[in-house]
Parts: sequence; C-alpha cells; structure tokens
Amino acid sequence: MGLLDALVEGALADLPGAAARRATAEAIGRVEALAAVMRFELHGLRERLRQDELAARMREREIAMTEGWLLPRLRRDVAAYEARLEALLAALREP
Amino acid sequence: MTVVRVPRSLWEALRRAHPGTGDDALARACVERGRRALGEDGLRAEFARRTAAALLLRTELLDARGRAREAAARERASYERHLALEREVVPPIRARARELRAAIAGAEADLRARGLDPDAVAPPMPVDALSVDQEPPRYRTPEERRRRAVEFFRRVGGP
Repeated sequence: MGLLDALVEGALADLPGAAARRATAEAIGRVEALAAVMRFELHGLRERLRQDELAARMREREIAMTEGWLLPRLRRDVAAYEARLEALLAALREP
Repeated sequence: MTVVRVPRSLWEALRRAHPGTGDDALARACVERGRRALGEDGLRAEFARRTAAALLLRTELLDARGRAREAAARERASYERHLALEREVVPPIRARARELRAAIAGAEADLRARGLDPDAVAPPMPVDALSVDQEPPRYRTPEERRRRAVEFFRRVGGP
C-alpha cells in the first residue's frame, strides 16, 4: 500500500488538487474494473481446476485398478486356460 | 525478515514517479507509508487499498493459471493412459481369454464324446475367473457406474 501511495503522490505531484482528486477517482474506477475481470477469470479457473483434478483423480483410480487388479487377474486366467487347453489337447492326441 | 515481491513494472513506475530516490530509500518510504495509509481515509488511501487488493488478486490469478495448466495436463495424461488401457491393452487379453475358452469348450466336448472326463485329465478352470464373454457395460450415469462397481467388487471379493 505504501508503494502505491508513493506512486500516486509522485504521479500526481504536478497536478492541482481538484485534478489530482479526479485522476485518483478515475484510477480507482479502472482498478475496480480490472479487479472485476480478474475475479471472474479466477472463479472460472478455480472451477475448471476443481473439475480437472476430480476427473484426473477418478481416472487415476480406475487406471490403478486396471493395472493393479484387472490385468493381473486376466493374465492369470489366460495362463490357466492355456494350461487346461494344452492338457485337454494332449489327452485328445492319446490313442 | 519479511520478503515482499513487487511486480517489476510497478517498481519502475515508482522510480519514474520519484526520480533521484534510491531503491533502499524508496522501499523504506513504502513500508512507512503503508503503515500510515492503513489508517488514513481519503481518495489516495482508497486507491492504495483497492490497488493493493487488486495486485493480490493478480498474484492469486497467476498462481491459479499455473495450477490450472498443471491440472489440465494431469487430466489429459490420465485420459490418454486410460484410453490406451481400454483400447489397446485390455481388449486383446479379453479376446485371447474368449478364444481359449471357446477352444476349451470344443476340446471338452470332443473328450466327452470319447467317454472321457475332461476334469480328470486337465487342471481346473479358475473358480473366480473374470467374465470375458460380454462387452464392458455402458452406464447411463456416474452414480450407476459407481454403484455397479461397488456391487461387482463385493461379489468377487477384491481388490
């Protein structure tokens, strides 16, 4: 705040009182307009951030489930099927 | 010691407004004025307060943009990995399992036709084998997907 106060003082040093007040009031208006735009963008960003983080977390859980549970189970099943099929075919080959 | 980060453009503007004053003197004056301005009324104090709030908002916004970029990248990476698993990794293993089950059924039928018991000559099928005969279900709502997943894992006892 001190920096901004010093900045205004320096910038308005050459202006008469009424003009300085007018310029300051205009500057406040501009700052508020900018702040409104930033608040709007910030709100949108936070919402997007929340949705992206949620989607990524849910998907990462599914990926972990697939990689850590589904794929090993499927591979185990396939190995068991191959063993059974091989034994069945061997029995069929016997006279 | 408290460190205050000031945007370069703002500091340059301050230097131009107070030519001939060194950086240290300017920084000390800013701190002193800040303490005073907090208790002051009037347009200048109002400008300083609102601009300071806007600058904080700007810092927050820049930070949020960075975090949003990171979250979007993480979301995209998880999407691509999930898609690769669902399209390229899981389906071929399921297809292989289906193929083997069909071949097993055929071989079992041939053995029975010869009067032999398939279970007497071959290791058993896994009792908790995953179903690979159906396509993965499509869910209407995320809630339905969640409920069905919970029911499924209760049934099969994992993970």
